[in-house]
Amino acid sequence: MKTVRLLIVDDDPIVRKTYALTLRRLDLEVDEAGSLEELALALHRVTYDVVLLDLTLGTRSGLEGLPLILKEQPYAGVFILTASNSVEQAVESMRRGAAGYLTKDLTHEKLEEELKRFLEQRTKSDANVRNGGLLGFIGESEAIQGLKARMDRVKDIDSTVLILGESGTGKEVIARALHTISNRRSEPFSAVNCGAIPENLLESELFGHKKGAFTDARSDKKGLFEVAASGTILLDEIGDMPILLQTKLLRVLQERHFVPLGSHVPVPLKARVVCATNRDLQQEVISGRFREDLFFRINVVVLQSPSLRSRASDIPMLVRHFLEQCNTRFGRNVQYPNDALIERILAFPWPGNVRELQNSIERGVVLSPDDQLHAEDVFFHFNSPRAGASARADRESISVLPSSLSLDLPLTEARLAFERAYLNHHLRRASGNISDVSRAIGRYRADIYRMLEKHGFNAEEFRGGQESAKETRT
Amino acid sequence: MSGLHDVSSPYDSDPGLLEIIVQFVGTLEMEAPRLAECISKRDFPELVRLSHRLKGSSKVLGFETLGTLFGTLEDLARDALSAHSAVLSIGNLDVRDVELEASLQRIVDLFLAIKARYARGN
Repeated sequence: MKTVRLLIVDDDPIVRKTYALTLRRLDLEVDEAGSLEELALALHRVTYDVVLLDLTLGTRSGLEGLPLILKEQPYAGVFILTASNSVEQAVESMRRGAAGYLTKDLTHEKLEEELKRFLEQRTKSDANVRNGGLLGFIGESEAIQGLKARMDRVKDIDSTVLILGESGTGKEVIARALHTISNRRSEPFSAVNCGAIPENLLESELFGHKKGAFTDARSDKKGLFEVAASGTILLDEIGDMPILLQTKLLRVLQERHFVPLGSHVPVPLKARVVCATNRDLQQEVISGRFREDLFFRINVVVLQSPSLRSRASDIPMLVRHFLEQCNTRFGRNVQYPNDALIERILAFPWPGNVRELQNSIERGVVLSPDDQLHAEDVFFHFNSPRAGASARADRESISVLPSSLSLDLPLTEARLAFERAYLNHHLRRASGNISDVSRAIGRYRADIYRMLEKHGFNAEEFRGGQESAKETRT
Repeated sequence: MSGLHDVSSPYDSDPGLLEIIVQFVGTLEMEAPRLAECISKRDFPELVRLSHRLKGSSKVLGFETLGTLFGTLEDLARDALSAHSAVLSIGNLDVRDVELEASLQRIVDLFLAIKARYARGN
């Protein structure tokens, strides 16, 4: 039986303690957060099945935290907690994607019943999802079938797993799915983005620290290796891990224990380590940015996360899935697109992969005035009100920027998405002539070839405007 | 006169929850002067925040009547806040002050009965 993990978000410690004590007796793993900031940290560290979110957090509304939970942990059921009994608030929170609404005058027995009912329903729905394709894993293409088969073979093997794939292909979804089907599923899943945390904090985040280990260490803190227990820890963007920390990680993987900062007592590493990156690690090793010995250590079982281009037959199913998700989230009833729009969606190369498709569908739903998806909303980033030859160059520059290039992206992903769009733009402008690109952007030809390889571009395809034609067709 | 169900929690037979109830009584004892101070200083935003929070913890611990009284105080504080923001007449505010103080007094009376039942050592 999988351990159910629940997070209580309430600014009142009395409420947190009372619910935590009551719910732990149901064999639930319960964590507490007293603010939106603590909520963000908790979501970063642990995957939850249920979140109880207080409607009023000090001077802020708990509903501010709802989009973050739905984005970071879409499989968690969020119940809004409130001391008031307002139908309007209940409707509003459900409209925004909450699974339910609980008032604080509910007896503890009623609270338990509500949560049990939700968890039973969710177990059934999880089983349905697993039967149709792993948890959160949508698609039946050959590429996805092959990936699933490989995951099935390695799911219970303790070796380190390396997930490779372009940005936006769902590497974290694969890691979570691998955890869910493994014999470690009853243990926690923890994830950390090695590129998103400052170097000086990453070590403490991974290994934990003792009180007084450094100036801000006011109490003992468990690191993610310890939080993951015998479960799974995902080291996302491993290619961005600082070189000094790579050395320490290598030692941990070899010796199977780690030492929290400020401690001398080794803690055994029980979790399975899964690494993921969109970088070409071999190239990173050659350039000296990634340790060769660590590369060999983590390059044991490799799972390739396919680009959306290579699994275009999954696109209709993904569109339907994202549409349903957005309709629920925004309280809309936008219909599945007509054949002409589906053709356009299928023809587009989706450089930002599934994430870009998801963002485009979301934009289409949000902007739809009549419950239909419209091409100008889905492909919003390809439209410009300006016309004429002088505007065309600007428009083309805009057109190559993927919709996934949002200011909300982590820096590493934003930088990668921009680099891809930038390279695409200059290759088209130079008709695939590497020397011209090299001169235009002030880099050596060897650098251009490395970038081509990194982003999966073939310069030949830009000769004679084929790539341009492919882009502007949409 | 408060009934037994007003001053007792249905969860007090559970040792773990009883410990939290005792802690809650301690919190109320600390917060009561702050509530009175909020009324005298007309710090209505803080009065709304405090009474809302105490309404929640009262209800979660099964003190239904106390939760309702805090709810009344919260509503009065909200009314006073909007009246205060709209710069209504001082006379109206005086009336509200009396209502707020009376509301707080009902809470204090009930709290003293709860405290007599649960304060540590009793």
